[in-house]
Amino acid sequence: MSGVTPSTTGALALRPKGVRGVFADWGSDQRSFKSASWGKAMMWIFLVSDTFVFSCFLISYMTVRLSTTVEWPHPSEIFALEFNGKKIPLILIAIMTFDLITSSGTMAMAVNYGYARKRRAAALLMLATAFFGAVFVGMQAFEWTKLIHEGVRPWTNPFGAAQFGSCFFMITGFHGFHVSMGVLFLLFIARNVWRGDYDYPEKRGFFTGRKGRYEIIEIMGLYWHFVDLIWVFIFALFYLW
Amino acid sequence: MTVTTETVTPRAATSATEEAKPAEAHGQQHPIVIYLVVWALLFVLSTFSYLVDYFDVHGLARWSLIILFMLLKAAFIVAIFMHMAWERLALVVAILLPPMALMVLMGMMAFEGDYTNSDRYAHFALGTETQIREAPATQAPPVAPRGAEAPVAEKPPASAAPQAPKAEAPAERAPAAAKPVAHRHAAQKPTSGHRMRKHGRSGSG
Repeated sequence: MSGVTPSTTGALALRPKGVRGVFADWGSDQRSFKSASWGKAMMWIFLVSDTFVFSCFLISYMTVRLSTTVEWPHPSEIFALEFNGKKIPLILIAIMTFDLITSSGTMAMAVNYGYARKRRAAALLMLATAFFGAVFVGMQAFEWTKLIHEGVRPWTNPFGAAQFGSCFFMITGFHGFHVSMGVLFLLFIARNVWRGDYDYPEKRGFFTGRKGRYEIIEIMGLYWHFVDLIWVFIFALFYLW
Repeated sequence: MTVTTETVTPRAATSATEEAKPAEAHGQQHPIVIYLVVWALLFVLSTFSYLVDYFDVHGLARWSLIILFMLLKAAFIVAIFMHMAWERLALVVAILLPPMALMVLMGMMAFEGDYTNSDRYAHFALGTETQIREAPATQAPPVAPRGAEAPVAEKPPASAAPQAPKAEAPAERAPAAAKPVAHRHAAQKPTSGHRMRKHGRSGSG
C-alpha cells in the first residue's frame, strides 16, 4: 500500500509524491521504502553494492588502458569468428548480447505471469530464462577457451598491452559467475513456483515464514536484469570501445 | 518523528498525492505489451551498437554513439524491466544516487590515468628512433609504428599498414612478451630487448 498511510481519524491519508515524498518517506518513523517490501529493498541494496564491485573493475580497466603506452588489443579482431573464410567481427559477442536480452524479456514476462498467478507459465518462462543464461555462460566459456588457446594470459598476451588479459578475465569472469549463480537460483525458484510453494495463502515464505506471494519472482527478476545491465556496460566499454 | 502527510479524504485526492492501491494489485500489473515494446527496443539499440563497430566508425562519433546506446539500454532496463519508473522517489533516489558517486571516481581515475600516460612518455625513452635502433639484432625486429617512418628493420615489408603488426606471426611476439620485464608494475619501462609498438592512446580512435 505505497500510496496510503494509516491515520488516527480513520480517514485514509495519502502519501505525498515527488521530492516532498522523499523527505516524508525517509523522515517517517516507519520503514523508509513504502513501495517495496523488505525483500525487494534488500535486493536493490545488494545490487547497488554489486554495481560498486563492477564499477571498480571497469574503472580500473579504464585506468590501465589510459595509462599504458603499449597499444591496447583490438577487440573487434580478437573476438572475430570466421565463417566461410570471412571474418566477422564481434559476432559471438553480438549473439551473447541478444541472448541476454532475450533472457531479460522472458524474465519480465515470467514476473508478469507470476503476479497474474499463472504458475505454470511463470515457471516455464523462468526455465527459459535459465536456459538462455546457461547458453550465455557456455558461449563465454568458449570465448575463454579460444583466447587462452591463442595465448592470452592475465599477465601477457600476443595482441598488445599486457593488462588486457587480466581485465578481460576478471570482468567477464565475475560477470559469468553472476550469471551462473542466477541460473541456479532461477532453477530453484522455478521449481518452487511449479510446485505451488508461493500460492497464497496456504504456503509460507522461504526466509520469513510469512504467507507466500509471487513477489519472489520479481525479486529474482531484479537480479537477472542487473546481470543483463552489467553486460550492457561490459559490451559497450570493453568490446566496442 | 511523526509522519507528515496530508490528511485528506480519498475523494479529494490532489495531484500531489498518489491514489490508494492495495499492494498486491500494484505489483507489476502493467500491460505486457510495454515489456514487449522495450524488449524490441533493446534489440534495436543493440543492433545499432554493433553496427557502430561493424561500419568502423571512429573518433568522437564512435564514443558518443557507444555511450549513448549504452545509456539508453541501461535506462530502459532499469526503468521498465526493473520497475523503477513506478517506484516511489525515495527508493529511486536511494538506489540511483550512490552510483553517481562513481562518476566522480571515474573522472578522477581518468585524470590520473592520463597523467600517468604522459608521465611515461615524458620520462621513459619510448618509441624514439634511438630506442628502436638499439634493439639487438638477435631479437625479432620491432614492428613499424603506426604512421611513423619505418625503423631500421627489414621485416616487415612495404605494407607498414597498421594491421600488419597484428597479422604477423604471433609466435614472434610471444617470446618478447613473455619476458619478466613486461610483467613489472611499471610495465612500460623499456629495456633494450623490449620491442615497442605504436603507443596507443585511447584518443587515437
